Amino acid sequence: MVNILVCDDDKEIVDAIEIYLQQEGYHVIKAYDGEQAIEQLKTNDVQLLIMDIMMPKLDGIRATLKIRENSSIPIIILSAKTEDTDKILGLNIGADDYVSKPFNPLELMARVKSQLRRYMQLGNVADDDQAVYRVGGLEINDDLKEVKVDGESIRLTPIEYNILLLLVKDAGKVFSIEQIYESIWNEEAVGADNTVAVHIRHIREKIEINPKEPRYLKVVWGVGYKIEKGA
Amino acid sequence: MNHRYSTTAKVIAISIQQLMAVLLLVFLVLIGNLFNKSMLEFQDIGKKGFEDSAYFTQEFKETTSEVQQLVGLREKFETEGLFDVTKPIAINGEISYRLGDLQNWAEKGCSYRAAGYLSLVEESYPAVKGGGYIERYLNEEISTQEAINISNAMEKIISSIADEVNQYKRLINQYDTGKSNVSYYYNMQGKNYSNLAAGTGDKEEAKSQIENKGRYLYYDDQDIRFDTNVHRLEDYFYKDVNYITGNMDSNAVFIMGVDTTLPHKDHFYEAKETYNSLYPWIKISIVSTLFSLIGWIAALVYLSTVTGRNSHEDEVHLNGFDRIKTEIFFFLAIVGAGAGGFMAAITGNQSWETSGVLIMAGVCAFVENAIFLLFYLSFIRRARSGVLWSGSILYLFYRILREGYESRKTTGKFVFVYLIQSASILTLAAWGYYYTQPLFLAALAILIVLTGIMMLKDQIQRQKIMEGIEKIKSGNLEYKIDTENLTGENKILSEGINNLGEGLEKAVDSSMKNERMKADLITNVSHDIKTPLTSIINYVNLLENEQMESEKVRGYIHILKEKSTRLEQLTEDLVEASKISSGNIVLDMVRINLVELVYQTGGEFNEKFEKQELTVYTKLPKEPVVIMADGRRIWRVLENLYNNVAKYALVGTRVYVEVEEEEDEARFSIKNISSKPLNIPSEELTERFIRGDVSRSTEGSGLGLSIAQSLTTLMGGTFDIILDGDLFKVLLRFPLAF
Repeated sequence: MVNILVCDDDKEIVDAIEIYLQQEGYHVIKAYDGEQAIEQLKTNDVQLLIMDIMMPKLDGIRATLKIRENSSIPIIILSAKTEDTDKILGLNIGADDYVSKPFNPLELMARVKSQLRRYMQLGNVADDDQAVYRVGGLEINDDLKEVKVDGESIRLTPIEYNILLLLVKDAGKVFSIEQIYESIWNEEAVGADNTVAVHIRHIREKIEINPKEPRYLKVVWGVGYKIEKGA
Repeated sequence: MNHRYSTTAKVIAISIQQLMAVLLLVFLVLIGNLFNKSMLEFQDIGKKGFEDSAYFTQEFKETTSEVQQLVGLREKFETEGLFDVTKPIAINGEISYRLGDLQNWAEKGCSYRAAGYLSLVEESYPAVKGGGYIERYLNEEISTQEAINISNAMEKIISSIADEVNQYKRLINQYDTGKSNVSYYYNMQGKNYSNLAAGTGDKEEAKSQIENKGRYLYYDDQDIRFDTNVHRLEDYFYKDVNYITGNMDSNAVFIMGVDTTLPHKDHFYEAKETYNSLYPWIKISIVSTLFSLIGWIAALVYLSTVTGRNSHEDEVHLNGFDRIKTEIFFFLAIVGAGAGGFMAAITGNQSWETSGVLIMAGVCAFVENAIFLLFYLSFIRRARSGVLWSGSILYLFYRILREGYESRKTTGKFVFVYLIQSASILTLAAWGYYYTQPLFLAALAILIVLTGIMMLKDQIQRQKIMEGIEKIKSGNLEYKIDTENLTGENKILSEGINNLGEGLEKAVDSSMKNERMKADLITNVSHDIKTPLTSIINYVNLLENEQMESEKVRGYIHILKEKSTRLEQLTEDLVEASKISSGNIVLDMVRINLVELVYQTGGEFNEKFEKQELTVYTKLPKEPVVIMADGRRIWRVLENLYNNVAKYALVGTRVYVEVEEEEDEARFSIKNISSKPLNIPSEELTERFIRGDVSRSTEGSGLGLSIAQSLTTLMGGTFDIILDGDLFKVLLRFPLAF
């Protein structure tokens, strides 16, 4: 049984999240401020924490800092603060993911699953000699032509696979549409069209939880595409 | 619109005015000219015939003199009606020589002979009577004075004889029978001189013969009878009897007439032709003179009322010429009048033909009227706007004095120092000059140097203040002028400027604070909205998952879902818009390839467009088009534009996207056909909360274009919306990066 602690000062939000999580088969423990959350963590075996930032008594940021002192469970911050600076702050103090309010429940569930998989599988990664490329939860096994995200297999077309492999092999490097086209199709890009961009979007839709805010395959606008190194 | 004051009307009036002035003067000169030629008399206007005109009378009078001269010459040179070289010509009462000899003598010239201490004209030819006057003088038969008189008389006669003979020849031919329309008859003591048919000796017969020809003059000195039918000749006769009798011997009879049928082409014939050609001009001139005078006055009156006014403002408009100081203006006016008068005088002095005089009169009138108008109209404008006084040099002095007096708080000190200084310098200079004492000059030099230093110091302080103002003006509001070393008024001035700067800084600060507070307020409120919104979205989703049986309920839930999503989008956009407008964002400017960006954006949107059956036609250059921009922000701009197209383009139409390089700027344009009429001005499309369509039911906050525009401007680009019917076009322009 997986226990998930949900902490938000808005009772209705906690209840709603509980319903979704129960549907997925998780057990939910509820807290309504930072102090309660810390108390619950002490008395329960919790595998994942979903926490709001703006709460009475102890806010989400302080609570996260306190929790991180002696726990490494995945923490997903849920906040109405959508500024870049808020997200960066949250991730820097030890949160594993950041979801903006109002959120799409399905997206939240996907992120919960993703975090749990990584948390559960952490440490038991097979160190074999197969050609495997890993970037965060993204894993490509070139021998098996298999792509996994957080341990879950993804089905890509051969072209999508080749594009992703090209980017992953050189993670962090920005590839322009022309470069991608020329290395995949092996011919000069004459009057290129949207083909590459469309493929990239399709890949994103398959490997990302929220394609509009990708974790792995990022768009560098006006320059090209890249796989975020160390995502 | 009042056409009375239009420029066209003024130009026309000035042209008419100029034309009338030219006509007026030309016709005045013409009339003067006609008067001058006696062609026109006041009583004469309306009279038609040449024989009855004063012009004829004038001609007749002149002819009378000539004929009488001819008669005199004939008397002198003729014997029995023929030219006689042997005829004695009297030098004085006693001495006379033959005509032929005198002619030869004149040809050779006089020779002189010494006689005592006199030099007298030598007798080259024998005298007919009383010769040898030099010998007689030497023999003391005549006095020295008499000898001198004789010599002078001889010299005179010899020098004039040739001319007189020539004159005789000219006149005798001119008035010869059969060549001239003039007939004359002169009878004196039985001797006849006339050009009538031979044998007409009797004066009564001659008279009746001449009278029949037309116009005549008859004068008999014996019974002092005067008779004429020439117009107004009688007046001349009584006014100046000598006119006829002066050249006549007493008891003589003189008859002269002109054949008015003018069978011969002599000077009367020519005079008639001239008269006939000029006569019609008399009436024309008078009428035209009156007409142009009235026109001239009318145009002048019109111009006087409209000058300096126009239809759209009430006050009198002054031009550059009107701003010339009044005194200089009057001086120029006098010079102008003088120049005009000089021109007229020069023209008047020339003896040109009538046509030449008229042309010059026209030119003069044109130039002088132009000068007149220039000054007259300027005068009217000055008088009307009251600048005659306020625009004068005198007023300038008056104003400086008055203002100096009014602000005597500061000027008083200046005037005092100035007077003391000037007085000291003048006194020292005068003393130095009179007493030739170097001490005074040294003192003078010191005074001048001190004055210079004082002025320099003042100027340095002024410079400091100027620099301070420049700094504050260029945005450095915290800048303070260092008042430590400043003195007097400069100190007060700079302290004032410092205070102004402080006030300005405070104002700017508080306005920026306000803007930031506004942005913060919006952000905070939106946070507070988001929390309940999260619940709504979540529970609506849960409701949806309940698989309601009722179709109606499912419909309601769908609406709730749609609206809550829209509310979410609205809050996001609102926060972003307020952040951008308060300048509360940091841009990360990097090199962006617009071509790449358009491909990327196209990839993101191709399915969204396909869903709306929109076909995109993209025209991109092969080479990269690089600009400086913030990658995520420029994507946001394009995303909003593409979203706009996806939302509002007519289903099934084409969308045109184009990137091009033009000189040193990059252009991106996107065009589509709107599904709804764009019935508002393009500027309003980017104004917040306004959308192109009237219905506000679809997704979106209406902030999309506004955000796109603000971001574009923030990144140094321009954002234009062009509406043409249902065609919607957005044009972005960015400077090219190097």
